[in-house]
Amino acid sequence: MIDARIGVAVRAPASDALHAALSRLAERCSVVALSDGGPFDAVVRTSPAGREYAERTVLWVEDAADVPDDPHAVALLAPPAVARALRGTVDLPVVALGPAAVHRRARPIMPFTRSRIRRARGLVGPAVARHLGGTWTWDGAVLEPQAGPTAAGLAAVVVADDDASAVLGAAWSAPVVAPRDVAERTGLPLAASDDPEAEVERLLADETAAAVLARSCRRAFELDHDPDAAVAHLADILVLRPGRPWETGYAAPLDRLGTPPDARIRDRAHAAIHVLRSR
Amino acid sequence: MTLPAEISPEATSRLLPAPAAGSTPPPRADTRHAPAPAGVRTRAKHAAKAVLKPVYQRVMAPVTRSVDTLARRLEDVQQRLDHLEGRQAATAPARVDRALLSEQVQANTINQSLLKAEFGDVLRRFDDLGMAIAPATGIDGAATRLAEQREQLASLDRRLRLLDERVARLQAGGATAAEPTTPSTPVPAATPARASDVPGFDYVGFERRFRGDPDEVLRIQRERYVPLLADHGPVVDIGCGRGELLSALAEVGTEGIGVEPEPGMAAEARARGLRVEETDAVTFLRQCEPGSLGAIFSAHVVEHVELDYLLEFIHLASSRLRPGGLFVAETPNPASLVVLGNSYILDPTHVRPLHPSLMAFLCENAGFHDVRLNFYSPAESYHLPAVDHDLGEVASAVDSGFRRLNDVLFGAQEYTVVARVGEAPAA
Repeated sequence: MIDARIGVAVRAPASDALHAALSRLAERCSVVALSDGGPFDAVVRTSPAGREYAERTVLWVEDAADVPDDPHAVALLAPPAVARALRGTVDLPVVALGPAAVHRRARPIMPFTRSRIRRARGLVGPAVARHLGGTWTWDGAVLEPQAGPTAAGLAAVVVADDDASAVLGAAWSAPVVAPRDVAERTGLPLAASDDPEAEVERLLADETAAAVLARSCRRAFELDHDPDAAVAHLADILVLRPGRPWETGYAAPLDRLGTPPDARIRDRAHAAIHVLRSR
Repeated sequence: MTLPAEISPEATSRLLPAPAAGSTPPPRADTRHAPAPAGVRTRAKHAAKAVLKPVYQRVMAPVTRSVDTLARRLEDVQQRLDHLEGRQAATAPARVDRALLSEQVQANTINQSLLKAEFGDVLRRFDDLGMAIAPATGIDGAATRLAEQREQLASLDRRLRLLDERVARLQAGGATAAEPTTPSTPVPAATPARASDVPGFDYVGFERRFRGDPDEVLRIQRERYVPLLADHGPVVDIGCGRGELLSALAEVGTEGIGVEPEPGMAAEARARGLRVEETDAVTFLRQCEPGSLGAIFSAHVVEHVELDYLLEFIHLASSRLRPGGLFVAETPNPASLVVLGNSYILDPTHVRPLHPSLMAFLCENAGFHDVRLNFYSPAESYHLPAVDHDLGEVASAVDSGFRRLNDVLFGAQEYTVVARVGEAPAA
């Protein structure tokens, strides 16, 4: 949740995509009609305000080829596919909202952490998880369907053949190898080659490449498939206070990264905060 | 535990290969550290630990219990918060629908106001159109008015054909058709002359008593007519009196000519530096060049002349005004019965009351375009009171009846006909 009051200034009937995006926003903050009266932290509009003075605008864009010019716009809001087309072509930050949140329990587990957990759990082998034809396998052995998240969370490489499994792997920050069409639809990084097995061999041999791919996959998930991350990004753009005051500091980010409760890094982070606040 | 359940040891065990029948399970990875070789320092450390451990356990037990309790409470609070957030999230689509609906209602309200304004503008233009076609009755009488004009055109057409036939007969050497005689206006019967020792009617004194405060009368005249006439010089003021209106027009730079038959008043007007012709309206207009005047104004003059004089006055006005010129005549409104039965008959010099429709008709017949009627000074002090419509249907009917009576009995006490000469056709 964020402590924000977002106004809606949409006069024409809202499209399904816009309704979905606004619903995601309303799940995480207060969304009201502009005619209810301010103050507003931002106003979602589908067309420029057309006035000399207006509130900060988050401009909804459904067609990447038709981006209105609004001097009050601080960010663009778009469905994920349009947001991907807009990024890099406009000067404003782009926030993707629309589909409901998935894999909310997923945490980014980076390759080095994965290998340590695998060693601790006694999982030997290349640790390649594959989702092919609706079935998950681990180093060739068929898994139960409910083992998919576990495989995505611990595999050295995830090979996915559809959008759902690719997004699952990205949510757990796994290095995901997916066909070109799946990668383009989901916004994941494209593989270096069209041969998935060759790509798997390359990633198993190059830890750095695997780590870079893992980070990119997780980033793509946060940009296009995680409403919580998208709304948090919007809160950063609008410079808003966090909805839960106790989430300031490093505790929440360390929790999200899966840091053990007794890890020394928590003590170091707490000390750093204490030093910063005492100045 | 901060690690999610999906990578707990129980979940991870689903990834381990099932052991084959009769085979020994694969060895678990040994995570314990190999013991360090014992030395003096290590033995000292172990000894200190052995001594301190019970103390530590006694001290930390209650602290650990408190921490555990706090952790459980925090978890409870977190669960309740998650539950509340979940409920709020569940209502998100409904809240979005409500916000969108509010904005749609707001947009519809604005559109409705804009439509009302447009509709009002259309109605106003309809009224203007109606007044242009039928000044006395507005749009309601436009059909009748247009029918009259069609009949006039037909009549003109018949007269032209008759003239053509006469010309043809004359050219053929036929007998001249007898000229149809036009009916003349009836001549009033001769009245005996007034005796020489009886003074004439003191009109100045009569006006002073009955017409009201002269300054107020002049103020109203300036308010009504200076803006209308300012751009239509030269303005001829028929019956200009002492020239107050012409002086007001001169102040705004509009040239004026006064026509005043009364020598005393004409002299007073000339004393203001105004040009004044000491004659009557028709004589003056006959001498003017056609199309040389900007406007011809008269206030309470036309009801003092006979019909033939009035007809010639209006026709001369039409020909002496330039294209776009104005003919403005103010006169009492006999359609308001309080005027007809009171102020009109009070003045013995009034010749005939001139109904607004009649004046409009005469102007149109003389060739004026865009003839408008403006009504002033309703006799509000006589009005029957308004009845509150909220009292019911009977009250509404009574109020409607009173309004009609007010219009008929105590309506505008005077009106002005404003007629415009048409613009010259493009070459």
